[in-house]
Amino acid sequence: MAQRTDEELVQAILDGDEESFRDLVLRYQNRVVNYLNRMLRDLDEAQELAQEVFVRVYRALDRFDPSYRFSTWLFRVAQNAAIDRIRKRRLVMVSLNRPETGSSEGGEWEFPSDCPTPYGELRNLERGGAIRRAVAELKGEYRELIELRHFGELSYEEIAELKEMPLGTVKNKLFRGRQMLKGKLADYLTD
Amino acid sequence: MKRPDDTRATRGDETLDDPGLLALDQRVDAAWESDDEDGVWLERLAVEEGLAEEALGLRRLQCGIASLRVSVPASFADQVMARVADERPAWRRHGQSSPLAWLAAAAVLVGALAVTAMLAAGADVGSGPLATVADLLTASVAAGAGLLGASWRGVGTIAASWLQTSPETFALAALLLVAAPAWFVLRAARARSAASRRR
Repeated sequence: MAQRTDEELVQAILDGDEESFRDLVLRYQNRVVNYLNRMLRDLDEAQELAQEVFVRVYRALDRFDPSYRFSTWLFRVAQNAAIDRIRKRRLVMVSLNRPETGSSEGGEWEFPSDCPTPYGELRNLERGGAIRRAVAELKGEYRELIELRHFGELSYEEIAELKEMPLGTVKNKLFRGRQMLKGKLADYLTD
Repeated sequence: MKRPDDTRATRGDETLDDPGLLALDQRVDAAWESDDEDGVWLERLAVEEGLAEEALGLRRLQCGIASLRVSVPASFADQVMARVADERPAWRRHGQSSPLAWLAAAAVLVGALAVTAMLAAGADVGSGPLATVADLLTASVAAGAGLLGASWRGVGTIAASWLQTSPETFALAALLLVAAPAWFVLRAARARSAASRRR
């Protein structure tokens, strides 16, 4: 049986099939948690907030406009929730421009990796820390898109819709963001 | 003017906005995840000679970033569903009346009809406040019924005289009789469909 689209799942939930919401959660849970983790720099808090985001989305499901993508709506809710949380913490810099210098994101975690060898075995804490720092040091406009693309795993089109930017601008900014990262991480991205 | 975030300014590399590199960046982004060896991967991606190093650098960057991703615990979805089960969102309340509410309304209606029927049949309710309420109810029902009967009798007389004027008038009336409910049904269906689209 063909996989139902997000919009079909939403309609099924509104029609009373609440288990379809589980499918939506399973479909997006890793992406939302990873995105929030990047924004909040705290995995436990990211997981807790991701649950809250899904509950908020569930509550407001009847206000979902099917002329937009569900994913962009979900990530907009997630982004707003993260910004609110950051404001509450009084750490304005985290979501905007101030570069992160420490490794408070949890450098001791074991990161699962699905990369090809030799980079698939990339569990090197030093390298992981360097990448996190490099992403954090990007200017906000680039970092935000890098986070949406590489942690939220949104497509270029989804990012363009979410950020209300022309698709070409998204492509250019991601290109430049990646080039900046590649430049900063030159020492870590070799054999 | 130099901007600190400008890639060209920080790296002194005027080739960064090269459309070829931009296109390569997107091809790598679309295809980086693969178990192929570097050489096979480059061949599969059909990377032009001279751009191989750039492509591999981008691939390594993608892998490096991906290695920072985490997987949520298996219980995550269950926890969300448990929280959702406690929710009573507005959209779930709409159109979902409790059977108890329906039963209560039906019981009140049946009770009111029974009392009215008893009173209309001349049942003795004694005297006092209850009798006053019963009298009021009886009078109201009688007055309402009389008014309704009179008005419908009037309407019926007019309609009958109009229908008898010609066979065409009768046919038109029959058509109206069928079309009016059909129009209401169509209207309701359209409203339902629009509401569904809005959702």
